[in-house]
Amino acid sequence: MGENAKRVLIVDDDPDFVLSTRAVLAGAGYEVGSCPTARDALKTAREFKPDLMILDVMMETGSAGFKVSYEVRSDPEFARMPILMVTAVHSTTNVRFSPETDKEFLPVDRLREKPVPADELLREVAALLESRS
Amino acid sequence: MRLRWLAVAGVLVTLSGALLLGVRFRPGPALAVAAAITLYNGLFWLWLRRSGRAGGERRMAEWQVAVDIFALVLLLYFTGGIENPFSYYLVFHAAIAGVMLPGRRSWPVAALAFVLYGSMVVLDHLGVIPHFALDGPFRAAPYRDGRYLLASLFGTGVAFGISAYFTAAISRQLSRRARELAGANERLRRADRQRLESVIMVTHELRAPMAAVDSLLETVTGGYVHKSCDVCGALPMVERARARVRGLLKLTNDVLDLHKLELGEAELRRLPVALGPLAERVVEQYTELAAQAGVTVRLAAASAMPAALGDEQSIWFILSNLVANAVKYNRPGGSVAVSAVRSDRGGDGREQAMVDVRVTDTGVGIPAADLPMVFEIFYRGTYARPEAGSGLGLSLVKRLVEAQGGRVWVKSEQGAGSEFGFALPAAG
Repeated sequence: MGENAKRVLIVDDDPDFVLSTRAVLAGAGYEVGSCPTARDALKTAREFKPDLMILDVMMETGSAGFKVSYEVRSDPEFARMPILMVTAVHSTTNVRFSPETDKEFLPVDRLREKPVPADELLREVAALLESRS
Repeated sequence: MRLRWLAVAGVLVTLSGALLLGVRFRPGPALAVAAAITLYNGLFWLWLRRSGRAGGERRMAEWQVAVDIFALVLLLYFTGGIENPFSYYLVFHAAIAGVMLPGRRSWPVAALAFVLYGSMVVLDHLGVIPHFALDGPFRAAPYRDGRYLLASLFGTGVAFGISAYFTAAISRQLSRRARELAGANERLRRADRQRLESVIMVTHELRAPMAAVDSLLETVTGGYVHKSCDVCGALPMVERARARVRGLLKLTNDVLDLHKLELGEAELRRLPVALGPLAERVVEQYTELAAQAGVTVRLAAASAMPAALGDEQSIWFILSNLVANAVKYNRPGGSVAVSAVRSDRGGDGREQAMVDVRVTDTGVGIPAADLPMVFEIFYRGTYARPEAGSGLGLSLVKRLVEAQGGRVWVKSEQGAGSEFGFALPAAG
């Protein structure tokens, strides 16, 4: 990885999803870190200092990912960090995530249902990083 | 509530019957009362339609019944009073109204009807109010005969009382049935909601591994693997995908087993099962896994273990599941102890010989907050790994034990270890 390689932190308790996603992202030149629990996500983020987070919804609990997204956004260091949320079942994540609404919303930038095809994953990550640069 | 039209129907029936039998009476007052009954019932109906208040309809019905009874007594008065052979219609009206009104209204309605009718008859007899005679086939003037009056009032009073008694009983039964139905409906709604939540959970538990398999295989077909990598090469990716598929197969089997248990379709035998030899076979099955994990599995006095009453295959599954968990969630250098003792008191306080089987480990333990959920479906706990099982093992354990007349329990201290136990009826 080059020194200027963008860092992506994968917060997901499924080691196979982490392995396959890491292989795709690493192959595209990203530096990839991972954290298997929602509980340790913010701590790991503060140590790894990612440029983007891929965040699963269901981990220790059915909505662990939601809690992490609020915690991460509350930290000034990650207030603008793009978050790509992933879920195996979209119906469990029937929430609004658009920042344009004036009601309570989920503070993530994109929500995708697993499996995310590799080429689409790379496009999403590139686009989100581009939007913040 | 359609009570309002009962009175109107009754009036029409009465007047029609009178005409058919050739009974003559002064029509003016009788028709005026009949028109008033029709008019005020129509006004009540219009008022309720416009106000649209369901609670108001119930309260209004009680007032309507009272007014209807008064109007009917008035109609009877103008059509011969005690001489009117249709006076018993008042008993039916009071009885039906008592059943259809909410609450225990049968007795008050019957009492009101009897008091109004009796007052009318007595006042008519005493000459306080003028008598409106019926002319036609009923020529006798029984309203003047005190003894006839008393007998008729007595009979009418008994009729009111009997009808009130039975309608009160019917009303109570109907109320109880309505409450039972409401309770059953609520339980069905809750069960339906739980079923839907289970479906969502099962869908997630099926979909998540399928998504992982797809992602793993795409790294191979898409050329994202690294040939020299032990973990991220093509072969490891495919092997991991196969492992997840095997997990999926186990999950579907467990889901089916769980449903069979819930539906009572599982075929569980109830025979004496020697726990000592069974426990020995289970421990032997996990010897290699335990050795790889650096965990020691000890079996306490297998030859002295009592026999339990149950299904041998199920008990094998239960004990295997608990021992497997105790090994998997242990630490290098840790241990697992399996024991079975006879206890002469059942878990619910009843005097019943049971066999308590305990699997104790020195593993990572379970957080106190997770303990109440340990036997729920798809519970995996804070430290579980996704590939560690279907998430239904302990749910199946609980249901299998309970289906055989036993109970399960768990005690745990985070960082120190856990004890999982189950009790089954003792054999002999």
